[in-house]
Amino acid sequence: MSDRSLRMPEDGCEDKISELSDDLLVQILLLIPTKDAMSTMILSKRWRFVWTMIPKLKYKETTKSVWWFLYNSLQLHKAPVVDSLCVDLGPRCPADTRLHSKDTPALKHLIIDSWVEDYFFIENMPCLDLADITFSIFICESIDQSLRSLSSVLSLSIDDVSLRYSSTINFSRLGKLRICPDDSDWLEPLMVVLGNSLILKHLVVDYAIVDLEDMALSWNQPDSVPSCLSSHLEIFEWMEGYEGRVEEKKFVTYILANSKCLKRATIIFSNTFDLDRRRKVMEELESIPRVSKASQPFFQMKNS
Amino acid sequence: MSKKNIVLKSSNGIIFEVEEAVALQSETIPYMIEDDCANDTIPLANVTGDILALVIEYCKKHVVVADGDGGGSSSSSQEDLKNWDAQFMNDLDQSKIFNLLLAADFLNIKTLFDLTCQFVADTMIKGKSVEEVRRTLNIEKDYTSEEEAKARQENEWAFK
Repeated sequence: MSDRSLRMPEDGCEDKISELSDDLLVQILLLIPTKDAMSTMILSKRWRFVWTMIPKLKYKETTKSVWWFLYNSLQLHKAPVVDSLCVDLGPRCPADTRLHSKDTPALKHLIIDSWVEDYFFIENMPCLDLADITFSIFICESIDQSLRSLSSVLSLSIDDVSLRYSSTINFSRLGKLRICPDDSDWLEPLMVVLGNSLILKHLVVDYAIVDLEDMALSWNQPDSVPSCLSSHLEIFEWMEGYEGRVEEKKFVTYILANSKCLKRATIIFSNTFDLDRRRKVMEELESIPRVSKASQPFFQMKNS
Repeated sequence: MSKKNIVLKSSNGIIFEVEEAVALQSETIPYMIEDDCANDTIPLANVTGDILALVIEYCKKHVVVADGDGGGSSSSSQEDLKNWDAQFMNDLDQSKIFNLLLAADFLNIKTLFDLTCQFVADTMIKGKSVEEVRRTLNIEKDYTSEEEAKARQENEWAFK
């Protein structure tokens, strides 16, 4: 503790804040936007490197060179553990540099929500617990390798395109998977990823941004049942927009028929349902045979 | 039920006697009680009397009514508490605010620590220009103009 806090002339013109320890200053900077926190480096020499110790970085689309901004700040950044990195970009935000997060091997949370057409590259993230990768357009030569860096992640949120590129990755630690389809078929690639996620407990299908009209689904029963279904899956959720289409129903039927440990299934209907449709789909779901011996209440069904 | 009191002594020798539930909002004090193995006065060498008085005022307001009709809820409604907190912070000068922050950190009173940090962040830094922050917090610019220009240039992407 600083003894300096004891001498305190009440003249009101003292610089008290600069006397605080780095730890306390970091606590304060955590409460303001990353960009404001970074600008404190100009205040004085005392503040030059304080922001680089913030363990959570959140970037929003504010400059046209956001990737450069991100790249440079990660280069300067030196917190021993960055436990959260969040990038929130709007549509068509120019990506003029690579996101190279190889310098953050201790990163635990990575949240990237963007429309990126060019460069995105991540590697060496052995400590990553949570990754939220929901790109809308994600076309770049390094996607395969970047996604591979996520193989040790505990919780993964991913879009249909990234899902398709993940078919050969072994998600050895993955406990929770959230799939957020946009407009392409996600069922087949999902079944492949399920086969590679041996200990998955929680599966979420999130239709919040889905473009149903453009989405063609196809269902082919996998050759063998993914082992996470028979031994681990406990929670299955369909967030928003269940339409009861043939392929959707086949998928749900398959999950219920093979998930021996399933404790809870939540299905939220499309908000276009009228009462009749709702009753019909509900009956359909109720009549699906389930292998799990879980006690009631099992299904939760709601209109979104 | 008899209520136990705890005696706290500030760095400048001022004595405060408070109910145990009030003092135990600090996560540091229980350790001091154990270490001292006594019901005697607990000396707080890092906290002056005026600041300790503020800490106690805060803790009294936020003490959770145990065994009361409130079923463990606070003695005031959340809304009241928020307004009270805002008024409490607004009445303090900057020197007191930073000493209170240090005291909350030392005594490990999480809600008070969060409250002071949030107040500093919101009212003294957030959304302000570098010059405004310097003026607000009396921070002396010890960069030479060259050094400052260099820092600004190096990070100009942060100051579009």
